[in-house]
Amino acid sequence: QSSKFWGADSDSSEEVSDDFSDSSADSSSSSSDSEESFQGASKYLQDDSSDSSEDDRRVIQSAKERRHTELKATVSNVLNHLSSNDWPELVKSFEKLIKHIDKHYAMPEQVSNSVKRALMQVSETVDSAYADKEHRQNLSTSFSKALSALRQRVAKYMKTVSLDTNLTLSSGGDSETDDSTCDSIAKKSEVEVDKKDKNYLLYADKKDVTYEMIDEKLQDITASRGKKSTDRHEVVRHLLYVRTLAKCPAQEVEILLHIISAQFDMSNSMASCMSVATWRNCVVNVLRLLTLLKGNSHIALIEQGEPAVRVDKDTILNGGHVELAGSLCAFVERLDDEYNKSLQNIDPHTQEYMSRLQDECFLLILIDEVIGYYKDLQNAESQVKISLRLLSHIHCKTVLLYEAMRRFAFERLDTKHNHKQVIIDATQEPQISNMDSYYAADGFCFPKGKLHEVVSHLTERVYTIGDQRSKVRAILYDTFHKSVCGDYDTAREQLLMSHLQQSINHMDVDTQVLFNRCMAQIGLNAFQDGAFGTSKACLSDLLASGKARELLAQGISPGRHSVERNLEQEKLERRRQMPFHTHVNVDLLESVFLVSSILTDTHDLFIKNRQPRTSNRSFVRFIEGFERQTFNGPPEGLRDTLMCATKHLIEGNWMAASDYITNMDCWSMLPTSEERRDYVLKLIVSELKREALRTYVFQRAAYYESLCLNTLSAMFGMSVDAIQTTIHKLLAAGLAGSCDPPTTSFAVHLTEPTALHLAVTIFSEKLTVFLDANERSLGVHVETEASPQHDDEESYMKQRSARQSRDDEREDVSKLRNMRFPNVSHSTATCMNVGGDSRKGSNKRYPFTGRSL
Amino acid sequence: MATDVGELASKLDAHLVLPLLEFAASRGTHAKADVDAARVEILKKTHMCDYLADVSGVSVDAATREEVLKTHETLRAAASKAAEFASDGAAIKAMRRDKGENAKIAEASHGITSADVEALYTFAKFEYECGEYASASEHLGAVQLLSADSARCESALWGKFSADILLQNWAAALDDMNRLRDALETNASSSAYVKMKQRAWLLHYALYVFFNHPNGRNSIVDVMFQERYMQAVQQESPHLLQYLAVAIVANRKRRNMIKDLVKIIQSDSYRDPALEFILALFVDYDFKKATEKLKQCDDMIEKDFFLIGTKEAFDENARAYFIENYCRVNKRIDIGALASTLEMSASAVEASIVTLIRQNKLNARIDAEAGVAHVRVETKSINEQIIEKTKALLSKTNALTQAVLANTQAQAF
Repeated sequence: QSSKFWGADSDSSEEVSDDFSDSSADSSSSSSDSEESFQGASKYLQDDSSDSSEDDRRVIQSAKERRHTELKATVSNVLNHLSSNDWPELVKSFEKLIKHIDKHYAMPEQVSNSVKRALMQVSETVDSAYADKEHRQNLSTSFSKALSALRQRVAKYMKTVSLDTNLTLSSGGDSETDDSTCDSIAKKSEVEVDKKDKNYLLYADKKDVTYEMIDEKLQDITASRGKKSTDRHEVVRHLLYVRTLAKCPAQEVEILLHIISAQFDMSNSMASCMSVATWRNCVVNVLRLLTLLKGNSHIALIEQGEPAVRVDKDTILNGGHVELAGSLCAFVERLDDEYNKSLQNIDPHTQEYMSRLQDECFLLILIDEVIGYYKDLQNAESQVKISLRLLSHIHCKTVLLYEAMRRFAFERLDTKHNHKQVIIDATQEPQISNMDSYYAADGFCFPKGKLHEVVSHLTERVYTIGDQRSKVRAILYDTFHKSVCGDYDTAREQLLMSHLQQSINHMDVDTQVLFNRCMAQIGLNAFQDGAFGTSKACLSDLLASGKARELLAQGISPGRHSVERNLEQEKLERRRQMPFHTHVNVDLLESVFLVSSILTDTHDLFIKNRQPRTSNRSFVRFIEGFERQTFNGPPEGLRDTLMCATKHLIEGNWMAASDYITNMDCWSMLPTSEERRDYVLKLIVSELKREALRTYVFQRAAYYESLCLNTLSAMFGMSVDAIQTTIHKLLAAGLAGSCDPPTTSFAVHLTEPTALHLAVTIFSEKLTVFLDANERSLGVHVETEASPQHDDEESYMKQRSARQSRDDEREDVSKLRNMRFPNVSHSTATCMNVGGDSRKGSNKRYPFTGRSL
Repeated sequence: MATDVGELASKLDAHLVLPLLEFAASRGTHAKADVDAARVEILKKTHMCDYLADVSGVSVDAATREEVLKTHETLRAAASKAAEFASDGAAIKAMRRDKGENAKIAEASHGITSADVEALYTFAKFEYECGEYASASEHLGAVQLLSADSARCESALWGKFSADILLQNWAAALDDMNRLRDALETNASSSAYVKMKQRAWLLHYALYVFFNHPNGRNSIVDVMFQERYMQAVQQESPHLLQYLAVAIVANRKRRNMIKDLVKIIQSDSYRDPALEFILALFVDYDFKKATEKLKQCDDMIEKDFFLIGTKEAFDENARAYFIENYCRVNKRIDIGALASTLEMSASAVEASIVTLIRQNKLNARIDAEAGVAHVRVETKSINEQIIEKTKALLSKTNALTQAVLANTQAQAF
C-alpha cells in the first residue's frame, strides 16, 4: 500500500521537483533584471539593453519605449507559462504583469490590445483548466493550489478591467491590425495610442459599425456602471456618439435610456445637483426619447418588473415588438427634482438664477408631453404623478407670469424652427444641435389653453384617477392657485369643503407645507378683501409659533430653533425648501397678521372683568413686550413700527397710527393692482378709526355720564351714523350701556370691578376651562379604552361609526354656523407642527389624558 | 325678479314652471308677450295641446292632437290591467311597505306582472305630460308600491310629487317629499355630487309645499338647516336663502334660528334684500339701512309667487324684531318717530312695545303724554355675573362624574 502510495506520488514528486527547479531558475532570473531574462526573446530589447549599456542618454530618451518592451516581454512570459500550463510560474508572471500595468497606466483599459488579448487568454485558459475536473484532480497539490489562486486573481482583475476586453476579442481582425500598428509605432505617444485603441468603435467608419458592436458596447457600459474607476463623463460622451450610430429606433431608444441614466449618474450624491448643461442636455434627450416612443408604437417601456426576453437582432431591426426596461415617469420626476435642487443651490439674487428660471418652460413642455404619452397608454398612476409635478410648477403662477412664459417658449421654439439654432445653448456637445432640430421639428409646444384651464384640467384628472394623497395635493394646488389669482371666495370655499383641516396633521410633511402655504395665501387674500378677522384667523397659527419660515419651507428662522435640530434633520429640511421664486413673503405675512390683529383685537385689551382674550396671545405678548421696554426710540423694523402704531391707537391718536401703518413699504409687495392696494389701505384706515373708537369706549367711556356722538364723530373723523352703528354693535355684543336718540348721546354703565371681583372672575373662567378639558379627556378616554373590551366588536364599531358620523355632522353644521373660519384656524393649531412637536401640543391640550381615570 | 324665475325654472319641471309664469303675468312684472312666449316654449315640450292652443292662440294641427290621443289610447290599453288595480282602493290599502311582498301579492291576486307595472309607469308619465295629474298621481303611486326597481320607484316618486303639487294636494305632496328625501339618502348608487344636485332640485320642488302647506314654513326651516341640504343650497342655489330668511322671519316660533341664519349669510357672498335686511338688523344694528331694506323686501315679496302668502306675517314680525332691537340699544324711544320710519301707526308701535314689556323682554315704561318710551337700563352686578357664570359648573361636574362612574362600571363588567 505504502509503495502504491509512493508510486502514485512519484509522478507528482517529479513534477514538483520539476516545478522547483523551474521556479528556482525563474526566481533567480527574475531576481536579476527582467530585461536580462528575456534577452533572447526580443531583438528589440536586446538592442535596447545594449544601447543602454553604451549610451545613457539614449536610454532616457526611450524610457517609454523601454517600458513598452518590458511589458511585451512580461506578456510573452505569461503566455509561455500559460501554454505549458505551469500554474505556479504563471501566478508570478501574471502578478508581475498586473504590477506593471498598475504602475504605468492610470487606467487599466489603456493598455494596448495585445496585452488585453493576453489577459483574456489567461483568463480563458485558467477558467477552462479549472473547469476541467479530471485535469485538476491529476494535478499536484501545489499546482492545484496555484491554479485556484490564479483563477481567483484573474477573475478579480478581469472584473476591474472588463470594459474593453470583450470588444477586443469579438473584433479580432481589427484589433490585430491595431495591435501591429501599435507595436510598430511604439515611438508614438502612449496616450494617443490608447485613445485610439479604446475608442476604436468611436473612430471606426460609420458604415462598418454593426448592430452587434453597438450592442456590445452598451453591455460594456452597463457592466461598468457604478464602478469607481469609470469616468462618468467619458461614458456619457461615448454614448452620445454611439447614439448617432444607432441602427434602428429600438436601438436608439435603448441607447437613450442608457444616456439618460448615465447623465443622472454624473452627480454623485443626493445633495449635489446636476450641472445646468447636463440637465438641459438631459431634457433634450428625454424629449427625443419621447418622440421615438410616440413615433414607434412597437417599442414599449416596461416600468415595473422585468421586460420580456430580448428578441434577436433581426426582429429588432425589422421593427418587431421590443420591450425595454425604463420609465419616462421616473426620468421626468428625477429631472424635476434636479431642477428644484439646482434652484435651491443657486443664489436667488443672481443672474444665474434668472437664467435657470427660463429653463422651467422646457420642463413644463416636457412634463406636458409626457402626460400626453401616459394618457395614451392609460397609465393612471404615472399620469397622476406627472400631473402633480406640472401642478407644482404652475400652481403659484399668476396669469400674467404664465402668459409671459408661454410667449418666451414660443419665441424660443420659433427662432429655433426657422434658423435651426441651438435652443439650449449651454451644451457643449456638437451632437446636440441636430437633436434640437428634431426637437423643433416635432413641434412640442407649451401646454395649450389658459392657465385656469390647464390647472382645472389637471386637477380634475387627478380627482378622477388619483389616490387619496394625490387628490389632497391636487386640491391644495388648486386652492393655492385660485387664491394666487385672487379668487378668494372659491379658494376659501374649496379648502373648507375639502375638510382637510381635520386630517392634515396625518399627512406627510410636504403636504402639510403645501397646506400651510394655502392658508398663508388665503390669509393674504382675505386681507385684500378687507376680511381682517378671517385673515388674522388664517395666519395666527402660522406666525404665532415664530417658525413661519419652517412651516412654509422657506428657509430657517434665526434663533434658538436652529440649534435644536441635528444634522440629519437639517439636511432633510434643506431638501424640502421651496425655490425662492415661489415664496410667500414672510414679512408681508407678518405685517398683514399684525395689522389685522390691531384692527380687530386692540379693544380686547381693555375689556374689564376678564382677561385679555386668549385667542390672540402672540399679539398680546408683542404689546406687553413693547410696553416693558424702558425707552422706546423711533421704530425700527416691521414689528416695532406696528407696535408703535398700536400704542398710538390705544392713546386714541388714530392719525399717527394710520400714518405708521399706511407708510409701511411692505404694502408694495401685496400681490394686487394699484387701485386695489389703495382700496385696502383706505379700508385699513377706516377700520382703524373704528377700532380707535372701540378702544376709547372700553377705556374711557365708563368715566362719563354720557358721551356726545357728535364729539366722538369729530374725534375719530367718522360720520355720526357710522359711530352710532359701531356703538350699537358693541351694545348688542354685550357692552352695558345705551344710546339716547333724542340727544344723540350715549352712556356706558360700568362699575369698576374690585381686585377681588377680578380675581374671582378669572378663577371662574379657569374653572370652566378646566371642566371643558376634563370633559374632552373623558370623551377621548371612553373612545379609546372601551373598544377592545367590547364583546360584540362589530356592533360596537357600527354604533361607534354611527356616532362618529353624527358627530361629524354636528361639527359640520357648527362649522357652517360658526362663520366657518375660526374652525379652520382651530384645527390648524395642531397641524402646523411640521417640526414634529405635535405630541407636545396635544399633551398640553389634554393634560389628564390617560391619568384621569 | 326676472332672473329669479329663470333661476328657479332651471331646477323645476316644465309643468311646475307654468304657475310661476301665470303669476308673473298676473302681477305685470314682465311684459305679457314675453311671458306668453315662455309659456309656449314650455308647453311645446309637453303634450298639453289644448292648453298650448289656448295660450298661443294658434290651433295646433289636428294630426298632432290626434297622435297624442292615439298614443294615449294605446298606452292606456297596455296598462289597463295595472291601472285597474291602481284604482282599486282596497287593494292598494292592502299593500304593505315591503316591496317584494307587494309584487307577489299583486301577481297572485290580480295577475299583475312587472311588465304591467312598467306599462303603467309609461302610461302615467304620458298622462302627466298631458296634464291629467290626478290619475297620473294615482298610477304613479301604484307603480311606486309595486315596482321592484328602485330607480323606477324614485322617478315615479318624483312624478307623483310634482303631480300632487300641481293638484295642490299639499298633504300628499308633503308626504311625497319626505319619502323622496328618504329615497335620495338611501340610494347608494348615486355619487355625493349627484345627490347634492338632487337635493337642490328637491328643494325647488318643495318650495310649493313649503309656502302652501299649513306647516310648510316650519318644514322649510327644518329641511334647509340640515347640513346636507344647506350644502346643496350654498353650492347650487344660494337664491333659495331668501326663502329661508323670509320663512324664518315670518315664523315667530323660529326666532332662535336667526342667529344660525346670520352665520350662514355671513359665510356666503350671495346677497338680496331679505338677507341684507337681516344683516343690517341683527349684525350691524344699522337701523337706517334696515328700514331701507325692509321696504325693498316688501316689494320683493309682493312680486314673488311663493312668498306672497307670507307677506302679512313677515311684515308684522320684521317690524316687531326691528322695534325689539331698537329698544335694546336705546334708552329713550320716540314712538312717533319710530312709527314713521317703519310706516306703522304710532299705536301699533306702542302696542308692540307693550307686548315686549309684557313678555319681560324689555324693562321700560311708556310715557304716553310725550309719546316716549323710557327703557330702564340695569346692569347686573359683578356678583350676579359671577354667580351666573359658575352656576353651570356644578351640574356639568355632576354629569361628568356620572359619566365616569358609568364608564368604570362598564369596564368592571
